[in-house]
Amino acid sequence: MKALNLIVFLFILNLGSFAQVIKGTISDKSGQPVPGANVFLEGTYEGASSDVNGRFSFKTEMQGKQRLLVKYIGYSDYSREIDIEKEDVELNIILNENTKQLNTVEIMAGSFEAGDKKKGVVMKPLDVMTTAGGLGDVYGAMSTLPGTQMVGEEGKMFVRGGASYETQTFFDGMLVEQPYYSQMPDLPTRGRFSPWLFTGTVFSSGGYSAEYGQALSSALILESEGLAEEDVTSLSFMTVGGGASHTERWKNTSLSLQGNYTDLSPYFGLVRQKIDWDIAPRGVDGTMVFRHRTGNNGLIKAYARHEKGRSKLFYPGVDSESGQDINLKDNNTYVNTTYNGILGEKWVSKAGFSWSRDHSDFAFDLNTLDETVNALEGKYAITYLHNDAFKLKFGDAFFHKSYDQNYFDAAQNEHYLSSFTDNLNAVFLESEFSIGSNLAFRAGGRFEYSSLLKKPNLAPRLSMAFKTGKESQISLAYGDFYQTPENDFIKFAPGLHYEKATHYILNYQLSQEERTFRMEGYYKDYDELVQFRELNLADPATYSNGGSGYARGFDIFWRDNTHPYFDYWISYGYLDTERDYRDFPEKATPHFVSDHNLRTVGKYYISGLNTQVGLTYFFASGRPYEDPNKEGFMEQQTKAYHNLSLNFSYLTNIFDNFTVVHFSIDNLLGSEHVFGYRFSDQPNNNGHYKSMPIEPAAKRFIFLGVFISLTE
Amino acid sequence: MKTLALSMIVLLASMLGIAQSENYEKAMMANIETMNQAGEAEQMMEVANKFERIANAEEDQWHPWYYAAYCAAVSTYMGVEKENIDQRLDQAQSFLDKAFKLENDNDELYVLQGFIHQARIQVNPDERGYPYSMKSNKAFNEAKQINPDNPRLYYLLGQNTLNTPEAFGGGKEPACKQFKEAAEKFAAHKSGSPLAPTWGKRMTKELLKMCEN
Repeated sequence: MKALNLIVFLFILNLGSFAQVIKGTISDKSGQPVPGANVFLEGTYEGASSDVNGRFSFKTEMQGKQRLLVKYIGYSDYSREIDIEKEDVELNIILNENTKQLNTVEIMAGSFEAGDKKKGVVMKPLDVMTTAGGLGDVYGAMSTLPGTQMVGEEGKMFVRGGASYETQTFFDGMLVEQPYYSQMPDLPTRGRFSPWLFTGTVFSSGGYSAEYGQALSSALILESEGLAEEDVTSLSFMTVGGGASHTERWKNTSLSLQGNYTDLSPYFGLVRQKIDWDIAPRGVDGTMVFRHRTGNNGLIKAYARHEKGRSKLFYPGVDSESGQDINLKDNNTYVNTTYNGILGEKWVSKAGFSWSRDHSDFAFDLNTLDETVNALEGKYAITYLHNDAFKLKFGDAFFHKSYDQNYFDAAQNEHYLSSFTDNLNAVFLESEFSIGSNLAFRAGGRFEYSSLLKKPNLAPRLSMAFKTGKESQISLAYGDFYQTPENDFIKFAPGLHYEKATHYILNYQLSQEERTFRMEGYYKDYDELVQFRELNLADPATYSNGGSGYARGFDIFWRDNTHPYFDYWISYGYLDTERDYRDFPEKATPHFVSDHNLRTVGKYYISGLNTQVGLTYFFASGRPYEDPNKEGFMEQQTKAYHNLSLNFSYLTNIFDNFTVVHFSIDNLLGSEHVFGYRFSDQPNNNGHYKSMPIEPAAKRFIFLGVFISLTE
Repeated sequence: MKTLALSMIVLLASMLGIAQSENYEKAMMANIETMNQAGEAEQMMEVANKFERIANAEEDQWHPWYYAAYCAAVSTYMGVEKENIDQRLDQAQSFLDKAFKLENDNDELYVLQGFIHQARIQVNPDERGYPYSMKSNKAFNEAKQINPDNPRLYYLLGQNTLNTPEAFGGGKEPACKQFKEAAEKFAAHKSGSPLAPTWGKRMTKELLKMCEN
């Protein structure tokens, strides 16, 4: 009977009137109430949501020790044990912000990030294709961002007073040895990679992470796409050629094959060129993109591309009768494979392998220049995510490069061979930590040793960022950057040192929904730059690391995308730089520098016509050049550069297949562009050096393309 | 006496057990009712929290995660500030991911996945319109393979079509066809469980009215 009594008693107890109230407030670290948080007792349905003032209250019949949980998106889960007795429980709970979430401070001194979901996104992948004046080229589009220079006869990236070799391209974290097509003298080149490959781009104009090295000025970090979404076949027909691609998607695997043929001769036939082409640029390329998702959330990415190009032109001499035929054949193979995987709950690993082989074969009349560069990189990086506030990344990269050059001098009937092999090892370690959501630091370093130079370098990198308001923040960065001298120097003088740059950056950014304003000031100190008396002199004593210089200035950027159909950005950069390097007789501003660079990019989508119109205006102040007829060195200036470009993208359907018709015209107004002057080697009888302007091959460049996606 | 006591205990225990599962269904049905009445984002999020609490207590039930995800996702159409939409949808996605861990071959989960992708388009239709309709269509295809008669599937496909320009095969006319199909499927649909989702029916009716005009 006792037992029954007990049961009845328990039963009553269960039904009982022992309900207690659990109440309190929920706030964040700064004392702001957190509304909408889910407060409940573990294992029960009992709980409540916090109200506008962060208050909550609920009744429970639970007794004794219970675990109280608080969950809210953007904050780390909160959990504590409470003892429920006869009295009500009152709690004041402070939630910790989950620093991975949006709206927290981010280190961004020097870098422009682009990604799908990131806030403060400045340049998105599609922007590359739809930016007028960008010519569908990754580098062309990036040149609308501040910190870049307009160097029309090169088509490469020149960043903050740095020459083009000082900017390196990283494809899924792997250094790309030959990111541009081989170049004819005084004619612009473009990047080898299709902009469609990449979902994320980080353009860093300085102060970048210790994971990246061998770049004095700038890093362009391209992140390629994951698994393809679906099966698709595409065709393209362009005024400069055509292509086809097919993508097949399986559950965990996707494979794309792509082939293109380019030939500019029909276009050059229609639009008169100032250049006398014997063979207009033409080429074929084939690309394979493979993706496979492995069981444990790992992703294998493999990319391979082979390309073959050919062109021949007459390069006029400054004196009317002279000049030479230049014939170029170029073969390039590039392979990039990476694996991203999760090692454990807090460990992420990345391993990569890349290989490239570039063979270019120039003929200058009867003289020939053969160059073969083989480059190989193996890399791994491990990231340890302790928690949202602390992250550690370390890794190792191994670069192998072999370079062979064979110059045949027909007049002397002699071959001149030069070659080198370099094995460069790099290790890096970097930690990121934040204090609350308002202050973040990144500190690290990179150590490299080159077997060719037989010298180490150690580069510290430091940056920090703090929030100055809900939408604004200030970032600072400092770092040393080392780069092995260019092939043309170390092939003769392997005893050279690394060239060195030190960056100091101060950045302010204000970002609202779809609106960004940023201002960045920088100072860059160059040291150990290569100097020589005459290029292509095989005597190593000609070359030294005696050069130095500086670059300082500021960049301003504004982008407004609040209107659903209208998007524009304005960037302005002021640059003051001088250096004494290469064969300069004294400190001077190099020829690729304009003090003022302004770009305005606008895009408007006309929904009724399914058409996007883009307009870009480039302005660059005059660039210095050396006139041997005048006093001083590099004291002359070209005229300022103006370029207004226009494009249209019309979206339509051809037999139920999604189609984009793209039309663009570069230098719509036909402004005259002079990039510099070439002078004759010897003065004429009057002691005067004759000159010739370096100009684009045609006033305007017009492009028309039709891109069709065939659906099943 | 002992036996009696023992059997009482057993009886009581089993009653408690039944009570527990009855309690689950009761709580779920009550929440679903509140959800159906909710017209504001904040109310919807409160219901989402309620579902989340149940989900935490009932480790092997996918319905509470599913509804929590649905509430978080649908709340973005009820006047959430643009800059908070992604955060809400991240939350919806995290709930749905938990449901997927319990059920990986369920058409309703794929339909909801497509719905979440669709909702992301609101943040920036210009930029996200194409990639996220592709993503949602992919999820809808998965759902279709599992159950071609899911009515919500046609309702959402119709929404996608309605938001696609006519030049790409979108527009009112083809969308209305899909809404009609959805309405037929809703009429034919017999739900096996009282917890089975029913949302979309009312909206389909509303949209069909629009089609007639």
